[in-house]
Amino acid sequence: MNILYTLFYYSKALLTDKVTMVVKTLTPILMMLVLGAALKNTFTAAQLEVSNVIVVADDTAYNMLDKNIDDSFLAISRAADLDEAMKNYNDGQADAVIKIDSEGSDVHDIVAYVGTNNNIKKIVIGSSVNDLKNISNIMHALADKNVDTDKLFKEYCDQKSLLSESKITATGNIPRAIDYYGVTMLVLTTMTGALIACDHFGAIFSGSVGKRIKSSNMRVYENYIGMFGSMFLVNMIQGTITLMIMRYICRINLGDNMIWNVIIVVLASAMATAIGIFTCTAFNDAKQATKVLNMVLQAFAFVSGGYVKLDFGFLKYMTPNHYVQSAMFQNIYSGYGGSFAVSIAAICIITVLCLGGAIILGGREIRYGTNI
Amino acid sequence: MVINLDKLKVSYGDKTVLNNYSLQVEKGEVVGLLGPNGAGKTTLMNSILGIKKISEGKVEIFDKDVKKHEKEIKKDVGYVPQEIALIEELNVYDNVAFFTKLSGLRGKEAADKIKELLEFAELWDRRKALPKELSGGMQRRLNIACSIANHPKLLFMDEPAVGVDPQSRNKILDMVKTINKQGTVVVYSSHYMEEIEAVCNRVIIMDEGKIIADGSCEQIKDLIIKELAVRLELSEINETVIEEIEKLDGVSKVEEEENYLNVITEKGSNCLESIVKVVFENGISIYNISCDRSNLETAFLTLTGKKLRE
Ligand SMILES: Nc1ncnc2c1ncn2[C@@H]1O[C@H](COP(=O)(O)OP(=O)(O)OP(=O)(O)O)[C@@H](O)[C@H]1O
Ligand SMILES: [Mg+2]
Repeated sequence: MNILYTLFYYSKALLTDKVTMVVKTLTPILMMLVLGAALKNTFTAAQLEVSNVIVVADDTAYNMLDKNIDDSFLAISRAADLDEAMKNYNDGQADAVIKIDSEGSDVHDIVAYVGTNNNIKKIVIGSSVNDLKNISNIMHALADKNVDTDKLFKEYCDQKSLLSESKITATGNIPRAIDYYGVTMLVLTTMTGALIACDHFGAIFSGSVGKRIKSSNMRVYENYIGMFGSMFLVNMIQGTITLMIMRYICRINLGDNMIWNVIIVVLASAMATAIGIFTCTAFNDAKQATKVLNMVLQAFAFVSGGYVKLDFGFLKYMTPNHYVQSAMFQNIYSGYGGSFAVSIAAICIITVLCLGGAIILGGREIRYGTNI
Repeated sequence: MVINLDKLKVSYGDKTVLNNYSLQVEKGEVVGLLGPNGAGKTTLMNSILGIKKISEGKVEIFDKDVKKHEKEIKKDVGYVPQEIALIEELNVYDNVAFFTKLSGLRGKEAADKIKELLEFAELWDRRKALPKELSGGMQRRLNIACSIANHPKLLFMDEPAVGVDPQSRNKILDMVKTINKQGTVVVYSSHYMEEIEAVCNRVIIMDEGKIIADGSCEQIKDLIIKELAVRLELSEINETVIEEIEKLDGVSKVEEEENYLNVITEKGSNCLESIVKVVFENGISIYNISCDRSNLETAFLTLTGKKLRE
């Protein structure tokens, strides 16, 4: 019962705290606006950089390619055979070599040698190779059915806008930059729920109201769970609003399964709240805890690839952000890699561990008194 | 026994605030803790309540060990923290309601209790207001109302009337008296003698974590009436005059405080005349002399050589 009363009155207190609510809701919108602007620039820069590709192919294939390629992205030149192509490539004349094995319009294989360090170029080239493969597969399948493959190829290119601005990979299963950062930003704002929880929990618990609560006959877990619930509620509302803004205002690709997106945000809010409460209890000093948490959250976001899409390998598994991010990506782009269930389980486990840890630490503190 | 403290030791880091502190409080008492800033009043209350860690000693409330019977004991204990402890985003009514519900009351019983508490604190008309919209005195009253929601048998009040106007202070003092009449033992800390004299039937004078005097207001006054504090306002003060007064028969202590000289003399020594003589012989004029033998402030000064407030 005490849990419910704590939950009720603290939620009431938090939700009537209008300033905090407004600020919290506005922050992600601002972030998205800034992000949107920043990413636009990224794309402009990418467009200006043309990737040079040497193509080894027979006339039919080469002409088909040459006719249809968007030369603002890809500049192609031709080499007689692979040896010549590789020689030129090694001389630094090109970013990649593409070899198309074909007989007329019958493509057997496409091989690409990509050597550039420029990620965007890599993606552009990879994308075009993948597209070529798709096209060739389709044409291969249709070859004996008396279809005008030339026309088909042209249509395919128009339709799928080969190497268009919006698509940076071929499979369509990997996010555009804005979608990627949209999700990481969402995760980041959800994780800042930890700061809010830490702050509020500290204000209440290490403050004078906390003395009242500690001297009351309320059990520690009742109090912790009640407070957790109220902050979780606020963070969850916050997270869901952000999610909706991302989806319907910023038009980030969040896939078709919004229900799961909401569930992930709700679980992530619970995790963030638990992390905040744990940090506050562990430090036993709200100001110190907030400072540390602030830095840790930044580090988490960075290591999990939230700011720059870098892969920190094993390290990233140490960040709670990673699990939320990968759960979201797995939900949006099915088959993104890693297991959806594992990510969800990890989020739940972190939540339970943090909250449980906080209750145990807090219980010791109350039973034996604080030392500060 | 309501409170039994046995040789408490309480420290902050390596600074020991309470050492070998023992105290017994009986039913019906209103105990005043009187001491200057940093005397250890808050620390003492927090240690008894289990908010502050105790390094040595034993705390018993209602004859039970606090650590072993925590929940059972805390049910009957109330605490008015020194700082105002209210949930700022909740209105007056909800603040009291929250703590009333936590005490286990439900439904109509709870609603009645909340009304009773708010009427007791004379805040029923302001029940919709947020704490920050209340005056300092009202906030203090609300602070008390929240602490007695569980109808405690033992109530700790840490400077509950600090920083309020005399009228509000009197209201608060009346509240304390009523609370005590209803059978609650109160431990009341303050810097102000008048408050303590008005509500307490026992005074503990504390300084630097030690009990300096313990007894009824009358006993404490009697204790110092053995001594007489003389306060002289002088045109100037120098080493010679202080030394010469110190040497006089019957003078036990001389203290300088700006252009005042506080002289503690033994009762019945009648050395006032000689003091005045010494002052004149040094060519110093006396602007004012006051002797105070009956109030607790002087008692405090006598016992600790310190003023209660800066
Ligand atoms: N959190 C703390 N950390 C370190 N020292 C502390 C802390 N709280 C109190 N102290 C020290 O303990 C001593 C007693 O402080 P306490 O607050 O109990 O005094 P008090 O009698 O309540 O004073 P006041 O009348 O100013 O409220 C002081 O010397 C103070 O400096
Ligand atoms: Mg104090």
